[in-house]
Amino acid sequence: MSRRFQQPLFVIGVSMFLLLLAVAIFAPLFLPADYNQHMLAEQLRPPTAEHWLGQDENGADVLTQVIMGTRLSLYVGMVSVLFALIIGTTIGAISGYFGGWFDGVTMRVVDIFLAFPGFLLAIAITAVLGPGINNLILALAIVSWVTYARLIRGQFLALKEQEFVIAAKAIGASSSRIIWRHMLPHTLSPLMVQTTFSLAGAILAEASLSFLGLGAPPDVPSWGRLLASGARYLLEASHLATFPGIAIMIAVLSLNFIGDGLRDILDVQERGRG
Amino acid sequence: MKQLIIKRLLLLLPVVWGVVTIVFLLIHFIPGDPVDIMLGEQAMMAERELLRQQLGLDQPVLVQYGRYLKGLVLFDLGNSVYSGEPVFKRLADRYPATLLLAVASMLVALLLAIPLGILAAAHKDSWIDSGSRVAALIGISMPNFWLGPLLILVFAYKLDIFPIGGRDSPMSIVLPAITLGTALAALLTRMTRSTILDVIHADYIRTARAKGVPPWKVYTKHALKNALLPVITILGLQFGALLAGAIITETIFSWPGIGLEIIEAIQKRDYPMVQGCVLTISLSYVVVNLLTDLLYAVVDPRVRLT
Repeated sequence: MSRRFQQPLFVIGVSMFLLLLAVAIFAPLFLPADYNQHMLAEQLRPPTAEHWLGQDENGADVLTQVIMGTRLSLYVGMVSVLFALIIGTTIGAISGYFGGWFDGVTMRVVDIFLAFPGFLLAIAITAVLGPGINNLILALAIVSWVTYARLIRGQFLALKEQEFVIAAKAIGASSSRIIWRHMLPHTLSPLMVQTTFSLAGAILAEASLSFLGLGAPPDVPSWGRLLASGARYLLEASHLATFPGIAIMIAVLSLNFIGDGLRDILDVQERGRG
Repeated sequence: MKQLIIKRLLLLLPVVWGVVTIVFLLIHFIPGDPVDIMLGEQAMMAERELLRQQLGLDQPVLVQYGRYLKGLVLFDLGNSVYSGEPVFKRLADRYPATLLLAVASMLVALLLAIPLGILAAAHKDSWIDSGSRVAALIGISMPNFWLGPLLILVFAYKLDIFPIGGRDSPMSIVLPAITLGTALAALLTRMTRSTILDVIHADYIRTARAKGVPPWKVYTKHALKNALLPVITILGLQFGALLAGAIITETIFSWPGIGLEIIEAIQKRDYPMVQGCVLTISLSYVVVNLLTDLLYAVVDPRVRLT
């Protein structure tokens, strides 16, 4: 039996995440109602046969909003992590491989970024730029590129001394070839583990910012904003806080299961800031 | 030790300068005119000019930067655009509440994590261990802005044991501290478990066992002492996450700290106050990291030699 399947949490995590991904991709095909359709006479109704997860303070269907929220969370999470991955890996690789003044400067910049608690920096950026999906992605990418830069730089510093890299240099391979073809593939395991945790962190941060009113704009359904209205109507309509909370938890938990399992499977020790 | 402190302080200078500069630049990254955004487009011309002068935005950027640095040295972070109150005074009023909440959350986390971590390590690979792993992953994944309202619903509304929010009684801190401390508890449980497992095969533990020391004492007295070092580091590193998490927790529970202040300031577009809050939280984080470093050197003499 492969090691992958000896990790039940990993399998559960992958299944849960694939399910969410399917919901996000195919959402428009099975939306039960229009999320912008307000029925003020049916405010804060608990779950019924017609509205499985109940209705919000405007009478809009909660299930529809939770489904659309999945789309937003995964989209913002994935795009911001992708940007962070590309920028962080490139800078970390150049820094670790060439060293010198570039390394000195970038690592000081990384230190400065790490001096801000990540979520605080995201709040500051979205507070300045204003709510909006692109601003949200930008803020989350700015917060998490440093983790990748540090991780890859560390890996490269160790790899640089290894014989296969010295050999590649000796036969005259170009620096870019050594970096991309020889060294980067060796960093894939820690990179995969870090990306899973970063994605979990980004989804949680997106929901948190939207909860505070700094994330998604008001006309875009998001888990965080739904939960914020839930917190306002706790006594009258506890369903409003319950379901988006469960959705966030499933998303983040599935990724943490995957990351935890991957770390065991790939035997990776490193873990940066989430 | 003195040399170590001086070295760390010198290394800190460029970081502090970077943090201070980024916070200064924040207001300059606002798309459009910051004065328009703060006052709204309906404001009178004279009113706008006055605010522009107050914020120093009518000066060249370098002059503004110089004034800002000079202000920082004199603990002058400008005045709130909204209330006119000095930002520094307001932050000084609110800071103790945030610090208290952070420390209380750390206590909650430690009280939960150390026994659970020891239990998981002592029963490695049993159902207790797996259970604690799943519980820890759930704890890390549970958003505090969900846990908070759930705790309010159950313990404040339904059971009426704790207040809903505010800081009027000593009991007010319990629910916010649990909300903020849960994720940290989860992380520390895993950390305690793995560090205990790292030391449990060491010679001195075998000696203790051979002498007939009861297992509970081996874990709590002999193993825990050495296993605590990495836990202290994580606790220090996570302090920043706690301060940032306090922003949400304070908003949920109306806990009158800096976290609630920054959200109110953002809503009122009171940028000098936002800047002050960001600066205070980041610099606290930098200082705590430094203290963690130094504490580590005090506890583990080997660090001093490197």
